[in-house]
Amino acid sequence: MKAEKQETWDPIKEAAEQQSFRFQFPPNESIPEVPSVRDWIVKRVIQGYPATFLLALSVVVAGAYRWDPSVLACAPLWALLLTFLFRPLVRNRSGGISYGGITLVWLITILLAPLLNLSSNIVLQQVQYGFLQSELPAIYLQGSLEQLFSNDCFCALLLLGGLVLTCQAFCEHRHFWLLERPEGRVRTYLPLLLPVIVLAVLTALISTAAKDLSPQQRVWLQEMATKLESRPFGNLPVDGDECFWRSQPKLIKGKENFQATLGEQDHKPTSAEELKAYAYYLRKSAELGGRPQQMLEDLHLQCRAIPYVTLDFDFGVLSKRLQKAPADRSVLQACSDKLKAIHKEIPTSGETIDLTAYRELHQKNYDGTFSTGSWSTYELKQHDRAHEAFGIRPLKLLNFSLSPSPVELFYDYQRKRLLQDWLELRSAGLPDKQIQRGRLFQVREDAYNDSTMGRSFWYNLAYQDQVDNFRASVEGLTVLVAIRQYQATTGSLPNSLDGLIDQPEKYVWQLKDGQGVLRGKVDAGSEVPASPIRFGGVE
Amino acid sequence: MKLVTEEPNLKLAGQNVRFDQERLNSFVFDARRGDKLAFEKLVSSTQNLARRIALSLVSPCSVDDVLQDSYLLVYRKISSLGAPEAFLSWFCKIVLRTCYDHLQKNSRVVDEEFSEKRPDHSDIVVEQIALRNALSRLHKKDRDVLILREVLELSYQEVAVALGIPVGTVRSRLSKARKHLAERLKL
Repeated sequence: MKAEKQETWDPIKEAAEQQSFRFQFPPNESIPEVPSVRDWIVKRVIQGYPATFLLALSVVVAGAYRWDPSVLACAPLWALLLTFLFRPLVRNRSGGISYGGITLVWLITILLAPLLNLSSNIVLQQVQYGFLQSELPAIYLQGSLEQLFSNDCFCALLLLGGLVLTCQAFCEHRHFWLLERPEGRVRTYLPLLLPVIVLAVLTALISTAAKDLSPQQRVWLQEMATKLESRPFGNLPVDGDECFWRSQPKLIKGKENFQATLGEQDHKPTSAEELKAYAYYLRKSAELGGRPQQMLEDLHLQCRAIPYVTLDFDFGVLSKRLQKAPADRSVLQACSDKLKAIHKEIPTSGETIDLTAYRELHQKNYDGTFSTGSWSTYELKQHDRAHEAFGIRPLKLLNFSLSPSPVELFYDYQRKRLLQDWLELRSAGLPDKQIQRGRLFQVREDAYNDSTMGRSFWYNLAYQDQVDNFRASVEGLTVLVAIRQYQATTGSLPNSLDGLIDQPEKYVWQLKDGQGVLRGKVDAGSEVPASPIRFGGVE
Repeated sequence: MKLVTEEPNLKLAGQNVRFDQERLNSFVFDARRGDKLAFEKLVSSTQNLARRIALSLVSPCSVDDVLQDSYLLVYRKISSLGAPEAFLSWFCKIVLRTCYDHLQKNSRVVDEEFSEKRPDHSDIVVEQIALRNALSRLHKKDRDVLILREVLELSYQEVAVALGIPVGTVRSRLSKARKHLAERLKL
């Protein structure tokens, strides 16, 4: 069999032996002792240096997120580093480029490019602003990944990759004598350790961020969830299909066209966005309508929907209107009833702070802007756009959404950290006085100087901690309405109240045992004690 | 590439193409430094190998042209060769590629040559033509493996190095190529 096989090839072997060949040296041409520059360059091309560099550079530039010149200037350096590390991986046994290898390197580069850009951005941020907010790395990382995997960018990268590899294949074909088997294979796989290390670090970070809540934290969250659910509008979804209140502001073209009817106000909001629109509608109604009942309706919603904002101005306007309004007994009675209803629903400061903390930490997409009274369709869109760009949202890669995203993971970690800090502070006991609580929250806010969420959390705790003021204002109004009712009934005021009714915003009243007690007087913005005056018959 | 030293004077041992690797390396080394005499020695020591490849692929009348072109390329580009030890695999690639370029340029002539049935041909020439004809119908990758293994009698490892493929691939391609060649020769 073997002999038969040998015989098959004998004609060629015999023919080869029978002939001889004499090489004709080219005239006037000696053997070059060193390769030409062109050959040197083409050899580097064949060895994959430019292909690896170009692919790495395109990926790093595409994923730069911030196209700042300083960040872009770092891109060639990163691309050089990646080329140096990964170029051996792209070579095949013949010395050309392995398409599997270049795909692997491309994928590794895509994994590493956002991290490399992240470091450039961090350095730039430090140099430009001297500090780094802790959420910025997660935002940059997510932005970089999303930019890299946007449809346009990804297609452009694929196109460029195809072009580079076509040029590479052309060079290999034309200059095949420059193909040279690379030395050693073991060494070439060492760079693979880098992405493995990066992946291990990322996995460790993710697992740290995703750690479970402690039993104590779970109990508190559960308790708060129950409390919130029991409150009016306490557990509305962030958004819903119904747009009843969101469509109302479109009617507002001016005072004349604005129609706020009590019938419409009975339409209950079914989502947080609808609630915002409802609050805005009531506010506009109160501002444009100018009737005390409408303003009280607005205040009632403020009371129910926590968080509070500074309502001094509203109470000031309301007290002026009640003081100057004609002594219509039915109006005064309606106001009195509404104020009593509001007063009954005012929570304690402890409950308010607890619920504020819970909503800040646990309600996703809760932004605390409910009661600013500045809602409009346009602003809602702006708000959504801001959320798209910087907010907590899933990672969008090509046409897929991945959750948890880096930003979600980071904020989740931040929330847990804040929750732990908050519960520690809470268990140590909060001061009774609002001003002392404010100072305590301020200290915490300063400690979270590098974190937007941390600062916002402690700031909002202090900012929303105004239920005591709210209660005092409601009580003051209640006394004022009672005085106005007394005046309407008797036609005169008690001698002790002479002068007090003319400037109601300057006197601080308190309800005690069904009586209005003058607590103090506002002088130059601060409250000073006043001689105690009692006004009975409030209840 | 590791080649067994059997004939120190570089003559062919029977049908084998074996070289004194050290002397070959020294020829390559000297030739790269511009030594034309060393290059001549390199040509004489490797021309049988080159001729075998050429005879497997092109007509006998084109062999000298192919060899001249191949050695000319070696003459001009030997300085770009990294290690002298890699010369043989590098050279095989050059000869194979020159043959294919030659075939491409003269495809019409070759076709005529393959289909020629000249009555004055001796049996050995007829067999040569038939073999070349059968080889030409194989897939290029299989054909290269077959030529290096069967005509040059290189080891699997040497073929793998010359073609830049794993040894396992050499074995599988060889098996496939042998089967296809046998089928074509029977036809």
